[in-house]
Amino acid sequence: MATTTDSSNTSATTTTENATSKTIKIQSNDGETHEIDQGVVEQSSTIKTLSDLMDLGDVPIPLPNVKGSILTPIVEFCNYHKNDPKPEPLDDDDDDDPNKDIYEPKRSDDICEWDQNFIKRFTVQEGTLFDIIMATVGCKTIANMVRGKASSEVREMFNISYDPPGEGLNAPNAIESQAGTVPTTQDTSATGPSPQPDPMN
Amino acid sequence: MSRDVTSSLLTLPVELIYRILDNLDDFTFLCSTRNVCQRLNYITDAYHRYQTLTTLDLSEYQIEDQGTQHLAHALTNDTIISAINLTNNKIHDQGIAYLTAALKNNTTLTKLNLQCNSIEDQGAKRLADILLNNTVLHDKQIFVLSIFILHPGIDDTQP
Repeated sequence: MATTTDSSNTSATTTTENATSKTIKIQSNDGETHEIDQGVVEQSSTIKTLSDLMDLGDVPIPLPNVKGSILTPIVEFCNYHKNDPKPEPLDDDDDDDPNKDIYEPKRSDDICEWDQNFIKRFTVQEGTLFDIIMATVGCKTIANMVRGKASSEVREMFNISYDPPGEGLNAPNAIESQAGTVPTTQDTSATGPSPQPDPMN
Repeated sequence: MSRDVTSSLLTLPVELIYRILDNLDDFTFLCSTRNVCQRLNYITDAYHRYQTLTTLDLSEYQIEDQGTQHLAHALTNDTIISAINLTNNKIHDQGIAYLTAALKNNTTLTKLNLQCNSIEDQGAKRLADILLNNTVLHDKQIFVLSIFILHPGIDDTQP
């Protein structure tokens, strides 16, 4: 699997200048454990949050979404990139250009050579390219956030502006208003037949 | 109105959004991700699970009136689902009100099973109204199967 491993990462793994000596163990869903140092931990909000929350000691953090065959290259990737400058905040650029299409594809030709070689290991055919995306854990997290929410709440949660197709057919209050005046209390149970005329007669 | 609302969800690649949707059950998928906004609707229109979601089995799903409201919202302009099984849930008259309001705009659904819910006279009347008086639905032959009515007031309205 890892035959194409780039040797350039070995120098990165040995550098510890911005990291403390503290290391953390992580474990893939098939039981493979890796030891990562603080510089790597900083790159994963999930692992960082977990390690900040509790003193784990020697217990490995389980990563149930990640296979061992995918975790190894991820650790390698994080080790290579742990000294990269922090990315700029995302909401910076579209303030200066309000007309910018937010759906405009991002530039994809600025991937550095190491990353290009790295990503070549993963293919669509084997599904590993999607596994590496999945390993960001985000998909499942977002799915969990959405569960049990109304679409209006989802809209609010993700700052999605409402754009009704047609004439507000699915407006947030459309259903409520169409439903009319239905007693919300339980007192109808005692009142017997409906006072309105029976539609059958 | 602030214009600097950048929706991180909507800027995700479609494949990633599908990955997120893969983690959702049918009920959540419908109620929480349909009719959020047009772009998300376009994306879910092409989602393989939605395209094949003609029958929705939600029996014993602990759905209460609020869940019914969410479902009704998703059904308002749905053109995929033709049958829903809502047996053994906790839907009261209020939920039926949401549901029947949504069905006024829905011309795809032809089967709705509401057996073993807490539908009383008001809800039963709404169901009867929509069956008898709405010509679109009548033409489409909506079958309300075995409505469980606590007060047997108008149980002779079954088609």
